[in-house]
Amino acid sequence: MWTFITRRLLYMIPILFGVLLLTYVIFFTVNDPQSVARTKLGGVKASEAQVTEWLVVNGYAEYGPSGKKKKELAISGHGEPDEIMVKLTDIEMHSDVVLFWNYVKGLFTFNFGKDNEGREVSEILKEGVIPSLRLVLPGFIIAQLAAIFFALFAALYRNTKIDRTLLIASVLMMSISPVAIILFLQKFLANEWHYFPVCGYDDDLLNGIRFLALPTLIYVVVSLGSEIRFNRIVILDEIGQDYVRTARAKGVSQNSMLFKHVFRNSLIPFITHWVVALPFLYLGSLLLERFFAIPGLGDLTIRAVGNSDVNVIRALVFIGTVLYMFGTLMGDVLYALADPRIKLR
Amino acid sequence: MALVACMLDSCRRTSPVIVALLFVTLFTSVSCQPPLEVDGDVSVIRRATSTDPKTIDPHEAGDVLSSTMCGLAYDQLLEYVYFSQDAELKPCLAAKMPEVSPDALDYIFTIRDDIYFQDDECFPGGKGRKLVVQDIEYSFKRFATLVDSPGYWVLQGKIKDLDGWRSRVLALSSESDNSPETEKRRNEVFEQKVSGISILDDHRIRFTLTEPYPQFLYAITLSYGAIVPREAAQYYGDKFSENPVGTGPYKLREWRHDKHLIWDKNPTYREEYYPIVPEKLHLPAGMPTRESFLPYQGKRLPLSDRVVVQVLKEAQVSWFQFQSGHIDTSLLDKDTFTTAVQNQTKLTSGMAGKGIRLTYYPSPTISYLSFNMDDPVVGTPAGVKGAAIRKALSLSFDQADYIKRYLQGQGEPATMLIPPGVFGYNDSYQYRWARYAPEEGIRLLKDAGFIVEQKGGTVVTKDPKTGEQLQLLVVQAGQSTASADYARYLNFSGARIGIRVDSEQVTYSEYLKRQQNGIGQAYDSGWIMDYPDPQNMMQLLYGPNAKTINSSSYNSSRYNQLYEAMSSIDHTSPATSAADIQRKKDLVVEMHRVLDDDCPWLIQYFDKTYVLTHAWQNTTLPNHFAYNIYKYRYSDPRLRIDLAGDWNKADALPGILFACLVVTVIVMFVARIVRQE
Repeated sequence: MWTFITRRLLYMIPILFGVLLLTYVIFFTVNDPQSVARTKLGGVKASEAQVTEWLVVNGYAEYGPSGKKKKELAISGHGEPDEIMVKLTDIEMHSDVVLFWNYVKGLFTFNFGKDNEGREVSEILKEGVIPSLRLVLPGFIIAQLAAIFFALFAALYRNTKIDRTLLIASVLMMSISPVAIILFLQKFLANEWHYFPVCGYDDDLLNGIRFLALPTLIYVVVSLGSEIRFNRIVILDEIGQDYVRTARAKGVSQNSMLFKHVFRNSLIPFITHWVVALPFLYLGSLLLERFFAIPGLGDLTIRAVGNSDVNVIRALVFIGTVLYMFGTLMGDVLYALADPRIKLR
Repeated sequence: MALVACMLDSCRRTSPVIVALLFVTLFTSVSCQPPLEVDGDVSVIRRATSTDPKTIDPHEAGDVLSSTMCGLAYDQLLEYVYFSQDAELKPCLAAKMPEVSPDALDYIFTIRDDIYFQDDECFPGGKGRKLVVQDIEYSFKRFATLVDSPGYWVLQGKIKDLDGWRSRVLALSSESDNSPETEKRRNEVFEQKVSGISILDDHRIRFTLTEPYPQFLYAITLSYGAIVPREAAQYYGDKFSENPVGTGPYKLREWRHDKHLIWDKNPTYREEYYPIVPEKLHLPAGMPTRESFLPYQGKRLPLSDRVVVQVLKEAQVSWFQFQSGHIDTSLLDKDTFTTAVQNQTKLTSGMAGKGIRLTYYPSPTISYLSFNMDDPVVGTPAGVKGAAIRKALSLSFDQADYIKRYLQGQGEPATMLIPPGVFGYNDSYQYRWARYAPEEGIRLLKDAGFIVEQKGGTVVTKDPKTGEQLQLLVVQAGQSTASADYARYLNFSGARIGIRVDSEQVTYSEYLKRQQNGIGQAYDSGWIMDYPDPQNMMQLLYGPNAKTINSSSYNSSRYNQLYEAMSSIDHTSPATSAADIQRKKDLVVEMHRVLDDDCPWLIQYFDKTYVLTHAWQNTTLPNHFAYNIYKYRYSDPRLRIDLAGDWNKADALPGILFACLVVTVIVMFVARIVRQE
C-alpha cells in the first residue's frame, strides 16, 4: 500500500505542474498584462505612463535602455516631466518563462500574494472557508443521509406506485433549476411565512444555526434528486446480485438483507461519489452564498475571473488541484478498507 | 435495533396525527425567523450594497461604493453645499474658500483650527491629533505615488513639479531590491519638496498649477482629495485600506468582508449643524416638499448614531430585506419596479400602505454607442457613406421605446451630452440625430449611394460595390441581461433601416484592449460624470484623448478648439464674468453643432434613479457628486419598531402542512419495516 501511495504522490507533481501551466496559458491568453493593468487602473481613464509604471512595479516588465535612462534622470532629480515620463516603449516585457516562474513561485510555500484590492489571498481564503464549510458540509452530510434513506425507502417499496412516485419526484427535482428552488423556498419559507431569516450569517456557531438552516435545507433539496436516483440505482443493482438471492434462499429476513448485506456492498460506489465531491466543498456554494449573504468563498472564483485577479485564480487552482488529488488518493485507500478483495499495489 | 423497536412500539401506540402535531409544535416553536433588530433609542441607518467595497483608502477609491464608504470617514478641503442647486462648493477642512491668483495658477488654502482625526491606536495614546497643514501636503503626495490608484488622471500634468517628483519616487519603488538603502533613498525622495505644493505657514498651503485648471476644485473634492494622517498610513501599511482614520463623521467599527460594515458616530467630530433650508428651494419632480427637510435644520451632524451597510449580492434578497424593514432604502430595478410603482410616478397601494416613500431623479450617467471613427465602414475613412450609416442608425434607435421596454421607464431620453441639472444643459437644444425617424435614415442611406430594398415590411440596405447587406459589429463589455437586451434592441433598430447589427460580448479587459487598439466598429459605452463641469463629459470626444476615454477616436480640429476654450472657463469662480459664464454655455452648444455634422455617437439616455424609503428615514437630497451625505441621514428607531414590528411574524399553517407531509413519509417508512419484520 505504501508503494502505491508514494507512487501516487509522485504522480501529483507533473499533474500539478500541468494544471498550473494550463491555467497560466488560458489566463494570459485572455488577459495580457496590459489589460490587467488597465482594468486595475480605472479602465479608459488610465494613462500610458500609469500603465507602464504599474507593469514594472508589479513585476511584469523591466525598463529597457530608454526607460533606464529616464529612470536615472528621474532619480537624479533632473529632467523635465516630459523627459522622464515613461511610456510603454520604454519597457521590455518579461518572457513567458519568467512570468510563469513568477506565477508559480510562492505557491508551494502557500504564499499566494495579494488580490487586486491588496488583501492577502491566504487571508481571504481563511476568512471565507469557515462560512462555506458551515453551509456546505452539514448540507452535504444531510443530503447523503437523506438520499440513502430515500433510496432504501424506494428499495423497500420497489416496483410499487410509491417507488415510481419517488423516481418521478427525483427526476423533477433534478430538472428544476436550483435558482428556481432557491427563489421559491426563500420567498415562501423566509419572506412570506417567516420561518427563517431571509439572509444573514453569524460567526457564533449556535446563533448562526438559524441563518444556516434554510440554505442548508435548500442545499439538501437541490442535491436530493440526483442523489436519490444514484443511490437507488446502486442499491437496486446490489439487490439483483446473486448473493442476495442466496441470502434470501437461506431465509435471511428482508430488513437484515437490506441493511446488513446490500447497504454494506453499496459503499464502494458511494465512497467514489463522496471523495470526488468532498475536495470541492471548501469552495462553498455560489448560489446559496449569494442568495443568503453568507460571506464564504462561493463566488470567489467567478469574481476573480471577472476582475482578472491572477493571484486569486492561481491560489484556487492550486488548492483545488491538490485537494482533488488527495481526495482521489484517499478514495483508493478507502476502497481497500471497505472491500478486502481490493489490493493496492 | 433497540431504537427501531422503540419507534415501532411508539408507532403502534400513538396515532400518526399525534406524532404530526408534536412535530408541528416543535417546528413552529423553533421558527428561526429573528425579530426586527431593536436598538433602543439608537438611530441606525441600514442600507444594502450589492458588492463588498473594493477599498476604504480614499486615494484608491475609484468607484461609487468605495468613495461613499470613504465619505463616512474622510473629509476633503472642500465639500458640496447640501441645498445647492448648482453643485456649489463650500469649505470643509478649509476655513474659507481658497484665494486664487489673478492668473488662476495659485490656490491658497487656509485650514481650520478645530479639526481632529478620529481616535485610533495609530496615534500616541490612541488619541486623535489635530489636523495640521502638513497633513494636506502629505495626503496629496501620498495620492500621487500610489501606483495602484485609478485616480491620478485628475492631477496628472496639473500641479507644478508633481509629475516629475512622482516619477522619481516611482522609479525607486520599482527597484527589485527592497534593501534598507533603497527604502531610505525612497523616503528621502518622498520628503523632497514639490514646488507646486508649498506650505506657507502653520495654517496655509499653496497649490501652484502648471496651467489654469478650472476643474481643480472639483478634482480635489473627489475622494482622491481626502486628507489622511501620515501616522495611520504608516502604522497600517498595506492594511490602511481596511482601517480608515480620518476626520469624518463616522468611524469604522467592523468590516467583515462580503458581509457588512458597521460605522459608529465619531465622538470627536467637529461641531457641524444641519444647514438652514433655503426659502426658495427648487426641488425637481419626484422629490418631497421643502417642509420635509425642516425638522432637521440646526441639528448637530451626523444625525444618526450608526450606519450598518450589509453586503447583499442578490437584488431579490435586498428587496426582501427592505420589505421586512431590515434595511431602510431600496433602489428599484427592473424586477421590483412593477411591484412597487405604477404610472411611473406613484407607489402601488401595498407599498403606500406601509408608509413607504418614492423619490426619483435623473443621474448624470449617459449611455451611448460610440462609433469607431477610424473604421473603414462606419468611420471617417468611409466619408459620406460612413456618416450616413452612423446617422441612419441613430435615427433608427427609438430612445423612448427602449426606455419603456427594457428599463421600465427608468431613464430619460438624452437630447444632448450634458445631463439635466448640470451646468451646460440646454433644454432648447436637441442633438440632431437623437430622435426616432427611421424613414429619414433610409433616405440618408439612399442619398449616400447605398441600395435600399424594401419588400413588404423588410428593409435590406446593400453596399453597391459588393452587393452585400451592410453589417455592423458592436463590442460590449460583460455578459449581462441588460447588455443582451441592448444587443437585441440594436439589432431590431438596425433592421428598420436594413442594416444588420450584431454584438459581441467580451470581458472588460478585452473590451478595453479593443478600444485601445481600435478593433471594432462600435462600442457600447457609458459615462458617469465625476464632477459637474461640462468639460468632464465633452472630454470624451476630445481628439488628444483618442483610444483612451475617447473611444470613438473622434478628432475634429473645430471641436478640439471649442473644447479647449470651453474647458478653460471657470464658471464657478466669483471672478468669472456673467458674459464668460454665458460664453461657456454657448460653447457647449457650439460643440454639439459640430457633433451634429459628424455624429460620432448614438446617444441614448441618462439614468433615472428610483428610490424607496421607509417612513422612519428622512429624505436626503440627491447629489451624485458628493460622497459625504450620510451625515444628513436620520432613522427614527421608535417609528421603525411601531411600523415594522409586526412585519416578521411567522405564519403557522403552511408549516403544519409541511410537517404533516414529513411525518407521513417517516411513518410509511417505519410501517413498511414493521410489516417486513
